Amino acid sequence: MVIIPPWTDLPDELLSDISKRLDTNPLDILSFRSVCHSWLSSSPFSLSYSPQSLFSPLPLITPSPPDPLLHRYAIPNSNASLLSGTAIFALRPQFDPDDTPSCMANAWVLFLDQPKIDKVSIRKPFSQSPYSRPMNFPNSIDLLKYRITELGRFYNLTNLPEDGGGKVSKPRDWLGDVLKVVLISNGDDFAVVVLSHEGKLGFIRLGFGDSFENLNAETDWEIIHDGRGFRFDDIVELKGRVLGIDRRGRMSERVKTLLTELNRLDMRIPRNPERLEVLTPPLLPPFIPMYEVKVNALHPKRKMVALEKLKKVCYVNKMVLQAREIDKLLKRIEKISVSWKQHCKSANLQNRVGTALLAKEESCASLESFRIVQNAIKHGKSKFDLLSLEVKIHTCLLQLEEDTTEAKGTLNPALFLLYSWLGWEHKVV
Amino acid sequence: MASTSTSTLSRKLILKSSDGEKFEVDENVAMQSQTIKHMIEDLDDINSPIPVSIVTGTILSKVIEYCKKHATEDSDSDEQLKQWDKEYANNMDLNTLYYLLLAANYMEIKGLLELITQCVADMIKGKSPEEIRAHFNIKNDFTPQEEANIRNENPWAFEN
Repeated sequence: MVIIPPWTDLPDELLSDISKRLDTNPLDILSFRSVCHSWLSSSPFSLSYSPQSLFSPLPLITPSPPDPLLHRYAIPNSNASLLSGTAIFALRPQFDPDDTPSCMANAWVLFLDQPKIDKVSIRKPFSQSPYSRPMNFPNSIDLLKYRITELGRFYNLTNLPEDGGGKVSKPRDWLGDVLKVVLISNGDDFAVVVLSHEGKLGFIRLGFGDSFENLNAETDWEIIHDGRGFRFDDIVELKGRVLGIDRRGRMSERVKTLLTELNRLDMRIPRNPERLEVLTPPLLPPFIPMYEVKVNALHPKRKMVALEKLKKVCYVNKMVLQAREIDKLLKRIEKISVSWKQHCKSANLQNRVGTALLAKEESCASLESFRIVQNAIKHGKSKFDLLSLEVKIHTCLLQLEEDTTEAKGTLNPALFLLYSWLGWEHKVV
Repeated sequence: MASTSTSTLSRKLILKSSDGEKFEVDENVAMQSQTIKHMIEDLDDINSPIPVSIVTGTILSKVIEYCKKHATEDSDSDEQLKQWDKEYANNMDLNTLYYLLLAANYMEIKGLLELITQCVADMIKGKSPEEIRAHFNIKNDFTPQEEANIRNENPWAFEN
């Protein structure tokens, strides 16, 4: 018989350790505390007292990006901006077997802002006005009846209102210029990287001082990239580094070049290098029986070396396959990205991601893009995942490019030696 | 020859589980446990088995597996080690996780403790209280009023 261990009886310090690991999402903490008495008493968090646990250590005040970044959108007399976080949540009714499927209409996607350190508010996705609630949204939410999951989060720069008031300042002016804000931290300090609408990159370093409250800007804004030559389309944070992605065209262009080169290499590689008896010399008419004899007639030691060399070059085959795969993947991503953009542009759609109502109202074309988005959300894949996928591909591509250069360097000598043994003609392409 | 990379022959220690099972391990493997490290310092005879009183043989063997992996740092990159940790934790059933958590806590193995607490936290994430209870087989011991009070900690401001 299996004895079920008493998870309620875990030592307080362990339960507290576990709950501390949930503190990026206040709702998880809430759920944790609602499990039983011992879990409740072990969790040091109480949301009513520490709403900043949502986005510590935000929001914070930074100097506004310099004019060159803003360009013509520069706002006079604004020398400070507010960096604040927004979390994207999905609210779904708890599954109830007795319920009809119509309850699907009560699923929402919400943006949760923290405009002030002690305030959290909700708004409709993409909506510009704070405290905007979706249609039919209840005044209070019984968390027993809803499942709430965080889909992702993002950061934004907003103008600091003159009066320092409590409402979210309209981010519209800024959104026109600041396309995306990425936050990186190495533990001791923060860096904020901003992508402008025109593909420029700005950067500011923030230091903690000795506490989060003393967080301030140590330097002024620096322009990392001024948008000349090429423009960044997106920036993502990956393992503590910010990676910029430029026009997708450039990436596909790179794949194309790579494929051409790999194919060229591939052509010069004998077919089936692992099985020398069916070896066909490249760039020469195949006289299979004759060469078979020749390979087998090689001195055993040489035959071994020949096999070794051929195995080495045969990985070019694999690289070709990899490059083709990447090519395919990129095309698919491009498709989804386009749909995303269309989706985001469609004003009617914007505020209704997540409501089933939408399906009835929208035309087929936008429906398609909506489905993709909905699917992405359903599988927990927001736009941000798509971008990290792109970064992965980018890394893959870099590796492949390196490998290709290396293969080009090693292939010629290897083939030269081999072909001279076999008595084949060797052409350097 | 004086060696710099490979240390001089590592001493062996014998760990004895609560159910009497004995494990011979290299000293540097066992020393990942702060508890054992302190025990050795106080021990006169290093050859006698060191009792790990609250940990059973089954769990101790898993703990040792982790310590062995993390004692040889040179072979794997951080990335590979992380991957190994992930697979290690994913292969544990819930019961094993529970006892591993207690063992890591008792033996003071920081890395293992962090790994298991994170693993348990990941199981909790995104679940409702009911689902958490079902997952960990926990009985709800709140009165409806108590439960309502906790839920009032809801941080969302709905006012305009």
